[in-house]
Amino acid sequence: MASPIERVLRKDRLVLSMLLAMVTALAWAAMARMAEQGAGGSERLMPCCATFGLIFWMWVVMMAGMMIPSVTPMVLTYAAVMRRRLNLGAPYVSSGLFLLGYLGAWSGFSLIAAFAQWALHRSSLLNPESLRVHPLAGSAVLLCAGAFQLSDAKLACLSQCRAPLGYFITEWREGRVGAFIMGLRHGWSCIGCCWLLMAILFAAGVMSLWWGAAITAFVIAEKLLPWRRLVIWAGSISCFVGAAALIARTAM
Amino acid sequence: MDPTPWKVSGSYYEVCNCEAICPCRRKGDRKGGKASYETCDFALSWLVEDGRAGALDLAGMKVVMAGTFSRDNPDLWTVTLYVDDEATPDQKAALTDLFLGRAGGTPASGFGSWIGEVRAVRSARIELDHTPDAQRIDVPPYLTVKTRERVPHDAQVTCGIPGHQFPGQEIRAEVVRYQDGGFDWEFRGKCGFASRFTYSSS
Repeated sequence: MASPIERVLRKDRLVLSMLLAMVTALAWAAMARMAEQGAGGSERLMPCCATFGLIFWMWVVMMAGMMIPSVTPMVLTYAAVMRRRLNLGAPYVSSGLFLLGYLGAWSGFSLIAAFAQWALHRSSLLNPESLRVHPLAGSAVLLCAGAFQLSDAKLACLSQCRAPLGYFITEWREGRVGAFIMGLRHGWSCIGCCWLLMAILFAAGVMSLWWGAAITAFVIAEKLLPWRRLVIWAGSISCFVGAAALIARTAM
Repeated sequence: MDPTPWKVSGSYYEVCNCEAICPCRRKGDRKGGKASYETCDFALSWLVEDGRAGALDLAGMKVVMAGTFSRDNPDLWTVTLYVDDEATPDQKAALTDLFLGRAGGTPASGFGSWIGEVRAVRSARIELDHTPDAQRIDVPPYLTVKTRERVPHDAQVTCGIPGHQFPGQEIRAEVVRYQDGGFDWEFRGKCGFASRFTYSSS
């Protein structure tokens, strides 16, 4: 029979999972709308006319939609530890701050990605229709991503991302500021893990929902499935196959 | 929260199935990292040398906690608490609340907040020997722990459970054998740590 604290922890988990799923759904809905507007030629979102701010915002929304699903276990663990520390007080505000810190880190990444997109467009290196770089440049990105998958740096960052309770046991910081900073720092190791996977979007099409969904699914698999090395290798091989396909297509 | 002020201090000894020196521990300026294996199975023991909860004397009491957590999933610790069978019902209640982090204070903002499920709280005969490099825990018929040797380290080693203000000695355990309910582990040559602890309500 579950004790009161176990029931409370279970309820927190349910409530927070639902909230996170809602935020994710909103982010994807916003992404779908932006992609549609882009494709529909409303031109508001086409790089030719989009302001830097708008491109940045698109990346922020996209990173939130793609990363919240796989950071969910971390937020749930944080909330459970916080619930215990607050002696049954509600952990929602500080859990929100943890998530905000995490998304803050990814917004930093988004700033760089948006600048890259803007710069590529200005130098006419980004196809204005598909938002892709030249296939050869795309294959170079994929080759880098595939190689990085197998690096020690990737493995080190990933093991940070994969140990929710361990992270809080060793990295705990007090208070609401602490929640934000822990989120920020965790986001930083996630970026170390995933930045090249996100760069693949420049090869696949920045606003491509399907590729976005595929990368999201892969990140979830990498962080949550038990067969860590198998998933890492599968990712690497997929990148190399993709690179070969792009090169073959250019050659034809 | 329990309004009764309390304070306990004494010696601390723990073992787990990580490789020595336990990756969770702080070594000098280096922060701790992640557990060696997918699952961390551990046994913690406290010998209260000096302790009081309100008017209740807790000196001489022994407490052991055995538990487990998975490195990769979001669950907190699942534990069973063993309280000295020489404790009176009042002492047992006080020790239980205190060491499960339910009485606030130091444990509640430390290891107490890592506890999710409490499988059971048992009164048991506990034999603790915290002699340096020859520590033993015996909680028949559940738990047996024997120290093999000390693990030399130049840097100061600390652990978050007794508190980082208490440097301690890393050891390697000869054997850790545990069986209670669904739990059944036995491992040899894995890490352990001996130190002091002081927990209080404020």
